[in-house]
Amino acid sequence: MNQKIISVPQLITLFMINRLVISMTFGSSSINNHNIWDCIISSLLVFIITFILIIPMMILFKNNENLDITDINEKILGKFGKIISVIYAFYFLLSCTYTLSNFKIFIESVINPPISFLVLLTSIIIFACYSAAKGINAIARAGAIILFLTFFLLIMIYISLFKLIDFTNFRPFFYENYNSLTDGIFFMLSRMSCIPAMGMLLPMCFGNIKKGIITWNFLVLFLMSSMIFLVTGVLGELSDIKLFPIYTATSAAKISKFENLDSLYLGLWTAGIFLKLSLFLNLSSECLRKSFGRKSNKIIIFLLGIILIITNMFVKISNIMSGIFDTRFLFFMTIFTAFLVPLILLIIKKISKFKQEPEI
Amino acid sequence: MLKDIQKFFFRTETNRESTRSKIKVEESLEKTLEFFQKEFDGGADLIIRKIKIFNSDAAIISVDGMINKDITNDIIKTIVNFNLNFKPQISNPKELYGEIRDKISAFPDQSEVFYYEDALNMILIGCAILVIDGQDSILVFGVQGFEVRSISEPTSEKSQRGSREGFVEVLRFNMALIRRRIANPKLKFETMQLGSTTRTYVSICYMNDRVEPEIIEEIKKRLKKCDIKSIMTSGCISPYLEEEGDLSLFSSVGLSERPDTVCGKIVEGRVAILVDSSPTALIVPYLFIEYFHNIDDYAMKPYFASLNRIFKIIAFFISILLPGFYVGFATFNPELIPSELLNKISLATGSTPFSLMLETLIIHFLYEILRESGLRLPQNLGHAVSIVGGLVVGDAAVNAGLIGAPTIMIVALTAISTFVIPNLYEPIALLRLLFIIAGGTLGIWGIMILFTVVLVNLCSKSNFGIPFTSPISPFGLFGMRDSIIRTSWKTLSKNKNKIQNMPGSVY
Repeated sequence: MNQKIISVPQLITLFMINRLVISMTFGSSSINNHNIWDCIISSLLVFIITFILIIPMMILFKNNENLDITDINEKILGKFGKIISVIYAFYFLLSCTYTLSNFKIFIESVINPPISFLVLLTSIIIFACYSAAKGINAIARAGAIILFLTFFLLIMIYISLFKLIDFTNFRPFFYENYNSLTDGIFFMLSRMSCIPAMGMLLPMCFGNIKKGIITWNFLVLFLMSSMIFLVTGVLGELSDIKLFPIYTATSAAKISKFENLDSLYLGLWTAGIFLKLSLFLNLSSECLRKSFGRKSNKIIIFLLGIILIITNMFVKISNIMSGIFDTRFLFFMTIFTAFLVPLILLIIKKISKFKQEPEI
Repeated sequence: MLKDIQKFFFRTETNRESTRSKIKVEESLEKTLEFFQKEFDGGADLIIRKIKIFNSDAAIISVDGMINKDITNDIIKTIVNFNLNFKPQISNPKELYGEIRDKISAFPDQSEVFYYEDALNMILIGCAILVIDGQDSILVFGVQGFEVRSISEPTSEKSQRGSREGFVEVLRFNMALIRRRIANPKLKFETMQLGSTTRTYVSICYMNDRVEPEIIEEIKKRLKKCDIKSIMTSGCISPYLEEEGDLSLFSSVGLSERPDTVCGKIVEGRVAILVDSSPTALIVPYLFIEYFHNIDDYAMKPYFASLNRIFKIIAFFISILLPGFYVGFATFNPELIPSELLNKISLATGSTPFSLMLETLIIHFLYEILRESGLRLPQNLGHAVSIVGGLVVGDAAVNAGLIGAPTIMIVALTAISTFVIPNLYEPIALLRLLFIIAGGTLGIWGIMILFTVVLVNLCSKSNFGIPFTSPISPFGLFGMRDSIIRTSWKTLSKNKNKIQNMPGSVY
C-alpha cells in the first residue's frame, strides 16, 4: 500500500524536469548525424506512441490503485516478481548513469571548465543521495520551483532567439531521407524513462491522473518541437554539426547587456539533472527495498550512489560497461519496463482469472 | 485574579504529576516556618514577619523585592486592627482563620492552599502568605509588586502604522496584551512549568475553534519532552517544537515581540507559546513565506504591501546568492558578465594578492566580526567601531590594493539586503559563506547544486503536518492570496483563512 503524497501537477513537474534534462542533450549525434529538423515529425509520432505505451501501465494501475509496479509484480508473479523489481531498480540506475554520462560528455567536450569533473560528479551524486533520502515529496516540491525558474528562463531565451530565426534555414521535411525520422523516434523512446517511473509514482499520486498524463504528453510535444524549430531556425545547417545544438542556440541568446544566457540555462539544467538523479535514485532504492524486504532505503541509496560514481568514472575502461551504455540496450530496457512487463502482467492476470472462472 | 493565577500556574501537567508527593501543611507554625527556612536555606531575601493575632501566633512570609510593600502593609494593618477589635466568640485558631479569610481580609486577590509546595510556588511568584498556628491551610495574598520594564515598542520589530506595544518579560502581562486584542472566550491559555531548575512558566495560547486538537496535543507532547534545566529565553524551547531530527538551517518556529502580530497568527489558527522572563513569543506552525511578512503589510494598500514582499524576497536571494554568483561568474563563467562590468572587475581584482573567493571570504569574516562587535559594545563605542571598520579599514584596504572595490561593494550590498529580513539573519549568514565556497570551487554548477540541496531541504520540512514551503510548493491559489502577494481585505475576509487549510496540510 502506498500513501497518496503527491498531486498530479507535481507528477507532471517531475516528468517535465526529466524531459528537459533529456532534451538539452538532443542533437544530430543522438540520431546518427542526420537532420534534426525532421525530428519534429518524430516528436509528433512519439506523442502518439507514448499514449499506446502507457495503456498497459494505466490498466494495471486502474486495477490495483494502491499498488506500485513492484507490489503488482510480487502479487502476480510471486517470488519471480522480485527479480522483475530488481530489473526495474537496475533500469532506474541505468537511466541515472546515462544522464550522468551525457553530462560528462557535455562538460568535457563543450564547456571544459577549469574544475575537476570527479569533484563535480561526486558532489552531485552525494547531494542527490541526500535529496533522494528526503523522499519523493521533497523532490516534487523542489522540482516545482526549479521547473518554474527553468520555464521562466526558457521563455526569455525563446523570446530573444525568436528574432534570430532565419526562415531560409527551414528545409522541406525528409529532404535527404527518412532515417532521421526513425532515429528520432528511437532516441526519444529510448529516453522515455517517465513511463517506468509511472509504475512507481502513480499509486502515490492523487488527482485526475488521466488528464495529467495527457497534459504532460502535450507539453513534451510542445517542448521538443519548439526546441527543434528554434534550433533549426537559428543555427540552420550548423545544428547538424554541433554536438549539443540546443546549448549552442541558447548561447546566442542575450537580454540587454547580458549575453551568453547559456551559462544560466546550464545552471538550471544542472539543477534538473540533480533532481532527476534524486528521483531515480529514490525509485531504484524503493524497488530494491521492497524486493529485499528492508524497512529503510537510506543505506540502499548510499550504496547506489557509490555504484553511480564508480560506473561513471570507469565507463571507458570496461567493455561490458560500453555494451550496457549502448543506446539500443537502453531502448530495449525502456520498452521492456514501460510496456512489456505491464503487458505480460496483464496477460498473466487475465489468464489466471479465466482459469479461476468455474465451468458451466 | 489569584484564582486565575492558581488556575494558570498550578493546574498544570507538571504539577498534577507532582501532587502525589506534595506535603500537606501542618498545624504547627514552627514546623511551617522550619519548612520555608529549610527550602530557602537561610536565603537573605526570605522575609518572615511574625505577628500575634489575638492569642494565636501567626506569620506573614514573602520574598523581598517581589511584593508591593504598601499593599502588604495594608493587609497587616487590617489583620492587626482585627486583633484590636477582637470579638470574644472566636475560641480557636480555625475559627480565627475562617474569620480572617471570609470577613476581615477583604482582599480581592486572595486564595488558600493546603500544600507547602503550592505555598512555596506562590511566594516565588511574588505573593505573600499568612500562616496561623494551629491551622492546616495557608492564606495567599496576590501582592506582586516586582519591578518590570514598561510596555514599549519592540526595537527589533518596528512598525509604521501598527501598535506601539510590545511584549515584556512578565508572562501575565503578555497574556493580558493578547487577551485585550482578542476579546473572545474561545481564546485559551494553558500553562505549564518547564525547566527542572528554573521551573519557568510557559503558556500555550490558541483559539479553541481554530486549531486542530491534534496540533495542541502534539505541542504539549513536545514541550513535555523538553528536559533542560534552565529556561532563560524562549529560544531554549524553540528546538523542541521543531520536527524530530530536523537539521535544517531554517526554523519552522516563528518569533515575534509584537502582540498584534501574535494575535493575527492566533486568529489564523496558529498557536503562540509565551515564556515567562522572555519578551519573545513563539509561533507554530510557521511557514517560510511568513519571514517576509510584516504587520505593516496589512495596514498598507495591497499593491504596495505585495511590492514590499517581492522586494524582500529579492533581497533574500541577493543576500545569499550574490557573493557566490560574483565569485563563480568572475572565476569560471566571465562570459555571463557584461563586458564593461567584467573589465572593471578584472581591473580592480587583478592586482590584489588573493583569489576572488578568498578575498570575498576575508571581507565577509571582517564584516561579521565588525557586526558582532558593534552589536555587543555600548552604543557610542559601537558607532566608533562602524566608522573604523567601514571607512578606515575598507577604504585603506582598497587603496593599499589588498582587496578589490567591487568585492567591497558586493559585500556591502549583501549586508544591506540581509537587514531587510532580520529574522533570517542566521541561516543567511551561513548560506552566504557556503555559496561563496561553492561558487569559488565549482562555479555555477556548485551554486546550482547547493541551491537545489537547500531547496530540497526547505521543501522536505514540515511542522505539525503543514509543509514549510506551502502555499508556494505545494502550490495553492487559495493560500497565495496572502503569501508572496497580499490581496485586499475584502478578498482575505471572504473565507476562513486557517493555516490548516494550506495545500499539502495533513488536516
